[in-house]
Amino acid sequence: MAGGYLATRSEVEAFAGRIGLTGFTAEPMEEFARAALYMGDLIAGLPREFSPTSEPAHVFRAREGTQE
Amino acid sequence: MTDLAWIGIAEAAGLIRERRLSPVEYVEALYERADALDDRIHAYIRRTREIALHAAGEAQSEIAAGRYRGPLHGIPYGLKDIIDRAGVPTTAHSKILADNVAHEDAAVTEKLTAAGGVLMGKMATHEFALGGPSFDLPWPPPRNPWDLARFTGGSSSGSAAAVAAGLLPAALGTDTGGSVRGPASLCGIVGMKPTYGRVSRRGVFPLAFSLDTVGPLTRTVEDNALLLSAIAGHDPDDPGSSPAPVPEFSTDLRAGVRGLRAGLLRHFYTEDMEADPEVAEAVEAAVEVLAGLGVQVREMALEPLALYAACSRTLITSEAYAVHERWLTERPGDYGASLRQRLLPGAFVRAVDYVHAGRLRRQLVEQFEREMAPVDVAITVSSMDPPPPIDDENEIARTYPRQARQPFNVLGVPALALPVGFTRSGLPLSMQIAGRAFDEATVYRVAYAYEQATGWTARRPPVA
Repeated sequence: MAGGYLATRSEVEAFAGRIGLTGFTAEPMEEFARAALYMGDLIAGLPREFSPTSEPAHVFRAREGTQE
Repeated sequence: MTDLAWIGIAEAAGLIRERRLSPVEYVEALYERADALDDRIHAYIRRTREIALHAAGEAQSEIAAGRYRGPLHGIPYGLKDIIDRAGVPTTAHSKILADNVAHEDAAVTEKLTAAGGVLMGKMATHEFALGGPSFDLPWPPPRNPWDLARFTGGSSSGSAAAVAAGLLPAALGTDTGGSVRGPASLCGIVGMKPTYGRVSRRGVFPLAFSLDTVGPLTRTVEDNALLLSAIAGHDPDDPGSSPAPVPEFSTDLRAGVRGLRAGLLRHFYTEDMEADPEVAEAVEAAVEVLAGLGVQVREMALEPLALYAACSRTLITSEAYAVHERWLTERPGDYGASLRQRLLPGAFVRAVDYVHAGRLRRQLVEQFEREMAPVDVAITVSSMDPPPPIDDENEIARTYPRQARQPFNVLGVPALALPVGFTRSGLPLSMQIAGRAFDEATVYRVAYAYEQATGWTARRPPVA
């Protein structure tokens, strides 16, 4: 398992190539795989049972003098 | 003879105003100390000697002519090297920006210049305020003045090390996930993460737009309040800047704390994570001191630290990847390994995960506002552990995420790290005092009362 929604190393490699992460010279796949694994662990910790209308925090509300 | 290494802003300001201390002599004394010590501490990336001596000379002339500007006039300070000063490189401690000379001052630099502050130099940081400690960058990582074999914490590492070592009375850092409070805690000084939007980020290299703040590091609470007063305020050129009025944060420091109410976030360090016993004991003892001063302490609960960490890291990782995407695809080898490993996960975050993190953030803010209704401040640990050895990768990796600072970045509220004692081996221990949005004044008031009752901030590290 590579982690998250990218299940295999070949999926990670294909995705990394698609978004331009091609210039690595030293063991790039090791780094990508570790990154994908970390991200998989991280998003597994996020709740997903939000109401469809639940609105995210908006950073720019600080401009109006209110906080989040 | 006053030891210029250890006087703070408030004391130096009094001497400078009364013309008993020359800003030029002050600057020269601190550079002399840096010349003697910084080869071992590595707090500075670059000293701006010419700029400093010019500014100190101007301050001296103005004060002699009766034009005293206020408590920052003639006071030396350092800038974390992601904050711009026109004509000086802003490197972010990275090969990527090694030759990047700033064209304009950051908003905070403008404010400190207008207040008569004297920029002494640019301070070491974790690369782009995220990866570290790293040994594969153009500059070495700073060392902890309490034990040069120990980690300073990050990412405002050089700012904290310089203030703790008596190389500077004050410095600015940035705090996105704890980067002012972490090094303040491990180096035994005072560090404030202000309310999001309180201090302009214009001219500060971003880590994560929705979380970035600029904050002061000093040796005392009063100095911290004076410095925050000087840099706070609305800036129409920072889209996250708030127009909320800015009080003079040092005004109510001596008002006392009897009758104030504090919520103790004990579950952060006993259930969500288990703090090192010396850390937990020091925080519990600090709470007893506050209770003895008349603070009404009650336990309070928020969501577990792990939920805050998931929210914070998803936001930081996503936003930081957006900042660095082009360099990561064009110059990946120019990053240190530590930062590259921290940035790359951002490539694999889905848009929906980022939105979920924002939804979670809103819910966490709403819960915090409810739980804070019956109290004035919240108290908890900062780092779960004393500073680890800087060259022990495993111990750094183990202790790095063991902290309770991220919640207050997610919530956008002010949080101050404050010394609460030392381990039996002499390493600094720290707690956090957090407040409601835009209520830094009450946080400072509680911190000041504790500081005056205990005197921890007066202790000096063994560095020569």
